[in-house]
Amino acid sequence: MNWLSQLKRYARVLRTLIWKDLLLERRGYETLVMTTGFALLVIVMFHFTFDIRGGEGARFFPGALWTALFFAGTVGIARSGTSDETGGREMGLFLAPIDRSALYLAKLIFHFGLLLIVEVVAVPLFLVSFGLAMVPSPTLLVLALLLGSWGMAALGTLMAGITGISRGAGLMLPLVLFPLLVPVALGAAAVAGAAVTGETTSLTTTWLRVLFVFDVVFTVIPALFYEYLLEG
Amino acid sequence: MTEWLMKRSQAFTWIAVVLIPISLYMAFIYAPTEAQMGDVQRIFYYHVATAWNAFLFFGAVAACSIAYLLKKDEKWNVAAKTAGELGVLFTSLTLIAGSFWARPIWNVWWTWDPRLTTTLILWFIYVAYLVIQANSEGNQRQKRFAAVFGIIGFLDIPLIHFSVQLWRSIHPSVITRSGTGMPQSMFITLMVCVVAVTFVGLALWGQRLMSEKLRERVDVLREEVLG
Repeated sequence: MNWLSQLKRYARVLRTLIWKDLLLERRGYETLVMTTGFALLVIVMFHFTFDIRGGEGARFFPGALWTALFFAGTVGIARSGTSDETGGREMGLFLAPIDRSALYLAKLIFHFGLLLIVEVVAVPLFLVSFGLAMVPSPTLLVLALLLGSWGMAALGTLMAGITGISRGAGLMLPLVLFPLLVPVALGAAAVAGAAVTGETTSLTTTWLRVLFVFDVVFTVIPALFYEYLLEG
Repeated sequence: MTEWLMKRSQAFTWIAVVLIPISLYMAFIYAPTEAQMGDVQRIFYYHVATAWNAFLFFGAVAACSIAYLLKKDEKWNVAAKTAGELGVLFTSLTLIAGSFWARPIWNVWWTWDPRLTTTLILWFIYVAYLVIQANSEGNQRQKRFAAVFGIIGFLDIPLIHFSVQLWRSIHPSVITRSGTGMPQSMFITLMVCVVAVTFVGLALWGQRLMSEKLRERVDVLREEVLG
C-alpha cells in the first residue's frame, strides 16, 4: 500500500511538471511552430536537392523522414530543454522536494509529445509528397515513429541539459546527440523502409528489438544519473 | 592511480623507447611477408595496437568518470579528460592507418563496414566529449555533465556496434574464437607492437597528467602573486 501511494505521488509530480511545460508552450506555441516548420522545410529541401521522381519515393522516404525529424527535433529539444534557465525556474525546480528523476522523465515525456505532434502534421505530408499515399503496413510505420521518437527524446533531453549551460548550446546539441543516436537512426529508418515497401523480414523484428532496448537503456540510466547532474 | 601513473611516466617512457625500435624491427624485418597482401599487411601490427589503445583509453574515460561522480575529486576529472584526448588520438591513428591499408586491399579509402563505422562514430562521440570538457573550465556542473556523457557514450558502444553490424559487414576477422589464423611469428610481432604502443600511451597519459598538475600550480601561483 505504501509503494502505491508513493507511485501516485510520483505520478502527480510528473503531471504537474509536464503541465508546467505545456503552460509555457501555450504562451505562443513557439517551439511547436518552429519544430514543425523546420521539419517541413527539410523535406522541401530534400525534394529540391535530390529531385525525387515518381516511383523512387519508397527508396528515399525513410532517410528523408528521419533526417527531417532528427534536425527538427534537435531544434525543438534544444529550445525547450534549456527553457527553465530563464526566470529562475531552474532554481525553483531544484529546491522542490521531489525525486530528481521526475524532472528528467517529465521533460522526456514533454519532448516525446512534442515530436509526436510534429509527426502527426508532417508524416502525412511527407508520405503524399513522396507519392506514398498507400502504406502497406501502417502499424509498422507508427511503431518506428513511436520507438524512434522516444529514443531521440530520451537522449535529447539528457544532452540538452548537458549542453544547455555551455556557450553555443544550440550548435553543440547535434554534435553530442547524433553520434549517440546512430542505433536509432539505423533502426527507425530500416523499420520505416519496411513499412512503406511492405517487405518485412526477420531483420525488421530485430531492428524493433534494437530500438526497444535502446529506449529502455537510455531512459533508465539517465534517470539514475540525473541527480548527480543537478546538485551544486 | 593518477599519482601512480605520474610517478611512473618516466619509466614508461624508457620502456617505450626500448620497445618501439624492437617492434619496428619485428614488424618490418622479423615478421614474414604476407602471401596475398604483401608488405602493406605490416600496417596491421600498428593498426591493431592503436585500436586496442583507443578502446583502453575510452574504457579509462568511463572508469574515471564514474570515480569522479562518486568521489567528486578533481583529479578523476583530469584523468578522464586526458584519457579522452589520448583515445581520440589513437582512434584517429587507427582510422588513418586502416585507410592506407584499405586503399590497395579493398581498392577504396573508406567503406561503411561495421567496424569502420563503429570506430568513426566512436571518434565523433569522444570529439564531442572533448568539446564538452573544453567548455567546463572552472564549472563543476559542466564537469559532471562531461562525466555522465563519458559513461553514456561508453554504454552506447555495444548498441552502436550491434546495429551497424546488422547494417553490413566486410571487415576481415583475424582473431576469432577458433584461433588467430596467422603464423606464430606474426602473432608475436603483433603482441610486441601492442605492448610497445600501450607503453607509449601510458607514458603520454602520465606526462599529460603532470602537465595538467603543473598548469593548476601555475594558476594557484598566479593567483597568489597577482592577488
